[in-house]
Amino acid sequence: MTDRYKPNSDLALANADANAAMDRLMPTPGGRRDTLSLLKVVLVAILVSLTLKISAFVLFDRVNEALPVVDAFFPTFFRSQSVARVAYLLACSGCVLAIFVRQQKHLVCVTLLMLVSLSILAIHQSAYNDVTFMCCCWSALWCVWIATRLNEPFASLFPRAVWLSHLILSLIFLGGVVGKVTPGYWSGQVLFDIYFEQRDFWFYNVFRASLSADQLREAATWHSRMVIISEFVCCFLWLMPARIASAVAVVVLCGIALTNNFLLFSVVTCLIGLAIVGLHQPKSPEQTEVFTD
Amino acid sequence: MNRGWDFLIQSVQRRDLLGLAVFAILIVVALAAVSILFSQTMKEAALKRFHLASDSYPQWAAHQMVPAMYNFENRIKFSNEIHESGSFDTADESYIEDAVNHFPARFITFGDQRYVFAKERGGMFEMESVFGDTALISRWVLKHDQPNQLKVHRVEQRFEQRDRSKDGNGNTRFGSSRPR
Repeated sequence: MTDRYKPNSDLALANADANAAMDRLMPTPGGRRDTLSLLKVVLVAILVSLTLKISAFVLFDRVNEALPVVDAFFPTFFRSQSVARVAYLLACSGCVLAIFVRQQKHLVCVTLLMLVSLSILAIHQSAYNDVTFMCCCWSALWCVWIATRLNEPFASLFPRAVWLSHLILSLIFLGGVVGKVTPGYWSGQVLFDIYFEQRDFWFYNVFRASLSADQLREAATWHSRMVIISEFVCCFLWLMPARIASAVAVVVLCGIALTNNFLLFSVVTCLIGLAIVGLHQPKSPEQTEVFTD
Repeated sequence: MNRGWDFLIQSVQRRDLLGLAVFAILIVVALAAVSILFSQTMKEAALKRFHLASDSYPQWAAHQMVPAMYNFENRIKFSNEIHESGSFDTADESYIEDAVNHFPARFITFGDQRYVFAKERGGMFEMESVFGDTALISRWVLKHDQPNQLKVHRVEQRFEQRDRSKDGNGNTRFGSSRPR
C-alpha cells in the first residue's frame, strides 16, 4: 500500500461522509481498473488452484463411477457424481468468464456462480474433504464482495479489500492451528507417522538419508512445532501492517507446499492470490480510468 | 487493529452491507473454530464432523465452513476380513492401519483407495480421531448391496476419554482407553 492510499484514520473518517455524498450525486468509478486488477489476480489464482485439481478430479470421478458409495448420511443430490461434475465445470468456467468480464452485474453473477458451485463441492460426498474447494470457496466469497464494490473509489476500497483478504487468510490458518492443539502434534507423532516415516518427497527423503531413527523422530517434533507456531503467527495477519502480512502469508503458504507436497499448490495458490492483493501497487488517481456499464 | 477499525467505519459509511456480512460470517466461523478449545460439546461436534456423524446433514454442512486442515490425530484401519468376534483380522493380508491428516472418512468416500481395497469384497473400516483427551472411534461395515456399489453401514460409534498426561509421545495408536 502506498502512503498516498494509506488512510489516515481521522482523515478517512472526516472525508467518508463527503465521499458518500459525492458518490450519490455523481458516481465516479475512479480506480476501477485497479479494482478489476485486484479481482483478476485472485480469479487467476483460483483458476490455477482448480486447474491443478483436474487430473485428481478426473481420476476420482472414474472411481466414483466405477464403484459408487451409498452413504445415507448424504442427501441423494450431494452424492450424485453428475452434481460434482457440473459444479466443478461451472466453478472453472465461471472463473474463466469472470477474468474477461468487465461489467459489474455480469461479474457479480459469475462470481456468485463460482461461489455456489464451490460451496456445493465443499459439502459433496466425493469432494468435501478436498481443502482446495474450501479455500477456493472463501476466495470466491471475497471475489463476490469486491465485484459488488466495483464502483467505489479505489482509495477507500483498497485498504478494506486488503484487510478482508488478510482476515480470510487468518481464519484459514486459525482453523488449521486450533486442531493441532493436541499432544500428537506437539510431540510430532502425527507428522512423523504421515510424512517423516515413509513419505517419498524430497524434504523427507533428505531427512531420512541424513538422520538416524532417533534424530528423525526428534526432527519431526521440531518440524511439527514450527508448523504450529508459524500457523499461529499467521492467525494474526489481520493485525499486521498490510504489506508485511501479505509477505508473511506468501512465504508460509509457499513453504507449506514446497516442504510437504507439491500437490498442495492446488490448495495454497488461491490463498496466495488473496495474499498478493496486499502487495498490489495501485496507480495514482490521475491515471485511473473512468468506466460506465 | 487500526485496519480492522477502518474497515468497519468505512463499510458503515459506504453502506457496504455485504462487506459487513462477510466480516460477521468470518467472526462467527472463527469463534466456532476456537470454541473446540473450551467447549466439550463443540469438540465432540468437530470430531463427529470428521466421521460424517454429525446430528444432521445440514449441521454437518454448516460446520464445513470451519477450516480444518491437518486437524486432530486421525488413524484408520481397514480389512476385507472380519474376525468371528467382530474385530479386525490383523493377520489377514488385506489389513491396513495408517495415519491420516484430516477427514479420515475420505478413505472410503474419496480417492481411489476403496477401489483398491474394497472393489471385490467390501470389509470393515474403523477410524479414530483424537483431540486432547477426547477420542471418537467409528466403525463402518462396507457391503456390496448391488454389484459395483458399496454401501456404508455404521455399526459402532463411541467417545472415549483418554489420559494424555503420561503420553509423552502423544502416541494415539489405538491404545487403552476408558469408554464413555
